[in-house]
Amino acid sequence: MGFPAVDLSVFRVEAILLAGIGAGFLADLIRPRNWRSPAGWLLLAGAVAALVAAFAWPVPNASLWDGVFVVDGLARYFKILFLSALVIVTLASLRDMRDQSWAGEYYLCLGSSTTGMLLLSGANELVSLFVALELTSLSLYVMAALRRGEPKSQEAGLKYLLVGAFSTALFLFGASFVYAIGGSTALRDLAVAGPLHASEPLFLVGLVFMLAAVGFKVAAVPFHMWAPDVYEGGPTPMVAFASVASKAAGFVIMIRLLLGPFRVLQEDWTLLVSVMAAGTLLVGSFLAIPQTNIKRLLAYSSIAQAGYLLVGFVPGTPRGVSAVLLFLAIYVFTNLGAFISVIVVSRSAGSDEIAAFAGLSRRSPLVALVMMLSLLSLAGIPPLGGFVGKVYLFAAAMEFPSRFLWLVVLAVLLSIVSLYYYLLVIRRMYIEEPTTTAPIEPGFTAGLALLLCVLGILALGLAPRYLLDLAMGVAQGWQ
Amino acid sequence: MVTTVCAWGTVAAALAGLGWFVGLQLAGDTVYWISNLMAVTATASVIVMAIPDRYERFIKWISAVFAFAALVLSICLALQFQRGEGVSTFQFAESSAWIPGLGASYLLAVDGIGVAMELLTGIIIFCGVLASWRVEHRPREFFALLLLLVTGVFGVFAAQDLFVFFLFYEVAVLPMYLLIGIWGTGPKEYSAMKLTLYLLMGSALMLVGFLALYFGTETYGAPGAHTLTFSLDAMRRTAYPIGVQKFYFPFLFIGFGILSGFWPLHTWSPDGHASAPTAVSMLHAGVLMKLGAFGIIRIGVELCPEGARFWLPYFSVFTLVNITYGAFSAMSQVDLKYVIAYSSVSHMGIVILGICTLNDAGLNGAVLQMFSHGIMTGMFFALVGFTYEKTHTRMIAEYGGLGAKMPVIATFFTIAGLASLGLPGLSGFVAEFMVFLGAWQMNRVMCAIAAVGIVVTAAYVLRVLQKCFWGPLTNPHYDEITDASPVQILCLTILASVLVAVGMLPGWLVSIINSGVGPVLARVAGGG
Repeated sequence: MGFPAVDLSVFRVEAILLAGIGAGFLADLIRPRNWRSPAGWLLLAGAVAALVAAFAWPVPNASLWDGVFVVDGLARYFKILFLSALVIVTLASLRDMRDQSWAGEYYLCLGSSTTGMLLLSGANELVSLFVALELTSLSLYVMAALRRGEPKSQEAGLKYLLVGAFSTALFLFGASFVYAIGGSTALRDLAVAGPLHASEPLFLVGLVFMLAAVGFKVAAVPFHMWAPDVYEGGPTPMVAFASVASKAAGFVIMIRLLLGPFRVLQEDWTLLVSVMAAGTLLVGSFLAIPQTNIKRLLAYSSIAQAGYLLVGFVPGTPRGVSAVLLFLAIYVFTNLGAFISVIVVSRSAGSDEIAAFAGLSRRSPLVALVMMLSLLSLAGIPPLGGFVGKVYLFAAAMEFPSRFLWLVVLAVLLSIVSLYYYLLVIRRMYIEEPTTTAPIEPGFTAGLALLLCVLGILALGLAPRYLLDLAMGVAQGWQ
Repeated sequence: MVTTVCAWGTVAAALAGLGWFVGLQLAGDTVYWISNLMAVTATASVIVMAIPDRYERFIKWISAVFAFAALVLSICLALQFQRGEGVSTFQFAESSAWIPGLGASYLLAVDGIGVAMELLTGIIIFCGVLASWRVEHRPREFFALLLLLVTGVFGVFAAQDLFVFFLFYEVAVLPMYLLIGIWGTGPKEYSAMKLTLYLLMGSALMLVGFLALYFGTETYGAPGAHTLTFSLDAMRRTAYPIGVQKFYFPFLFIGFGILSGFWPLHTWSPDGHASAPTAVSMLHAGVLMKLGAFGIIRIGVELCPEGARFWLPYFSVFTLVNITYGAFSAMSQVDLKYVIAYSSVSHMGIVILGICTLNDAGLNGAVLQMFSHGIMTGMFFALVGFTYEKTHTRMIAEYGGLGAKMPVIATFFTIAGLASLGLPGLSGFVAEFMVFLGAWQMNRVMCAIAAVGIVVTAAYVLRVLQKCFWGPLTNPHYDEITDASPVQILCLTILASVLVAVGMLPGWLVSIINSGVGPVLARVAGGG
């Protein structure tokens, strides 16, 4: 049997990015040893070109190989989201990676991880989903361990790999049950077959295992424990990327699986997901308080953010999906803004301790301002993007107050707890006196990345209507 | 070099933005009064943020000029507000689409209650800037945050869309954290964090209520209007079932109650007010606490009248604790600023008691008390700040006979004190009289208990006046002390004349307030 001929131009976004990655990889290999690696700039060029292509020549709806890969609104939305994150992270990495011996490997892995995510956003079949997910994850494991000679980085890489491998096994295990019951790996077929097998206990077992695997990806409780260690040990730009892109990737799978084949089991997974959401919120909000390392603090904060996303996702309505989409886009700018500020500060302080932020407002008013806006946006304070995102997530759940009021009340109260630890960082930056008055310069590329983040945070807070309409269109068109 | 260009570029851009906005109105023959008010303070905030700290004088003059413009605009707003038969309750309406996907629009308008509060805010911000004339530590950020905060306050009092309301509310609250944390005194970081977390806890609770009201517009909306919207106007036309109103009213009441110092959730207030720098205490006790009471009326009572009728009698018991406990606590303080801070708790109890009566006299009195207490407590905090500036202590025991050395401050302190204890002829009397009239109609026992608070208030105010200002000068440190500066006298004179004017001729303000209170009470009486 042969595959039917396929118009491969639907993969043009991926192809452009791959060209950038390949050029960077080759240039890194053949460059004279005393030159700096050009891989970063080439990856940046590829990413920007791919992003422009994704905007300017959007791929029309398509379904390849009987629905193994699809191009739909959801896929297009997430591709733009992943590429935006890649562009910003690459910009922020350039200065930091300039003098690292492993810069070439870093950019290669960053690119291949993004390629995996681009494929993931269109994967609509269990095997292709799995392959894309593994491409994404394996690259991240390697990146976490790249800081050779740093025990924490080695620990991060190993921990990430082991936990990730475990979650992979869970995913495959669950998928095998689903295949056994549903008789197909294509999500489209499974969605049709699902109602026939809703009462099969093994179908439910498959759901639970796959949900657990996705839980690892988005760092939801009880599958979150890798996050603080990996965040602390991994190179900060990689952590920044993983914190936004990997989370978004997890939610793509969640949307495609839970609202696809597992729609019939919605009663069951609503309970699971809402308990997961509550636990994630509690852990993320309270365990962040005692942290003294800014990256660990942001790790718990990103766990809490996953909890808010789950609160919006749990009703499973188009409104909920669009809220998740909107929040993820805002989260890209918000969380990257915070992480890039961390990159800039720890580069000059040589430390990831929160104490390094003391008096930052006097040493670098602009970086302090970006960090403050990012943290306040994470806390959901208007008029920043995070506010619109959070209100919309809560609104999606409040549509059914009889079922989710407890969850919304918990979430709004815990967002005050999270505000507390964000304010602790702001206190360091604005209220404490600096230990040294040496100014901190972000540098051109990282400064540009910070600027992009701040513009994103402000624009999405003040004028969210365009993105909101887009997210609503995607969510409604997809259902 | 780059920084200088950026700074002046920002100033130019802010001025150009303001100019464009004014030009737009001149060309279109419509004046967006409320937006102008916010545009003035927001522009000032951006400009000040761009000026380096070393041009300290310039920063202060810019702030003062723009704050004066805001004061003038708020007076214009009040003067142009129409009363009487046949005029609409909400005036100066502005509307433009903002996030249609969510049903949130930029809707502004003020009724009689709102216009009184805008006027109060205008007065307090101008006097607050004058009272901050001596701020030398990081003046750029101080004035920028102060003006940003007040932009939010102007917005809340006029918001006619819950999304916009919430947005401005948080803009009004959050700068407090830095304002107290950086420029405060005493345990400032503790107080700043406590205040911020309490107030945002309140906003979290009210957000739940807001979302419930929001979804109600779709389910219970007026016939033919089943669309999701945050518009208050649509919500007023929505028939929320009694069960929904009863369930969500406590969320709204407690959420706003925290900000208005409702016992037992008031503990942020004495700490916060005592630690805050002078202008911030003025704004916070003078205006921000009123935001809470305003929210209870505008959103709690007006949108959930059945819920209000059910719950308010219970909540009114707590306000009695507010009034008496606040007064007794003020009595036992040794720090002058804590006396004023606890007196705010007590006086805000009178405001909430007035709201709880849900009758004409009580509600009118409550709003008038909001205005009167705003001016009075602003004046108190300004005076405490000015005195501290000279004596470097706030301990009542270390004062004594200061009136001999600074007669102006002592005189103004006496005026504020007499207003506080409700002396006829000053604004506090009219307001409190009306509230007690309303309370009497509701429940005579309660009215009697609340009156105890008034007696205690008289006691501690007179005690403070006597110990600090009148009597022989006891502390030799103060031999060389000077009186208030001209800028400070200007600030105090404005506040004192408002107190006297409202006390002597309350009719104008009461009729404005009544035009807003009437429709609220009609909704309560009509059962929504």
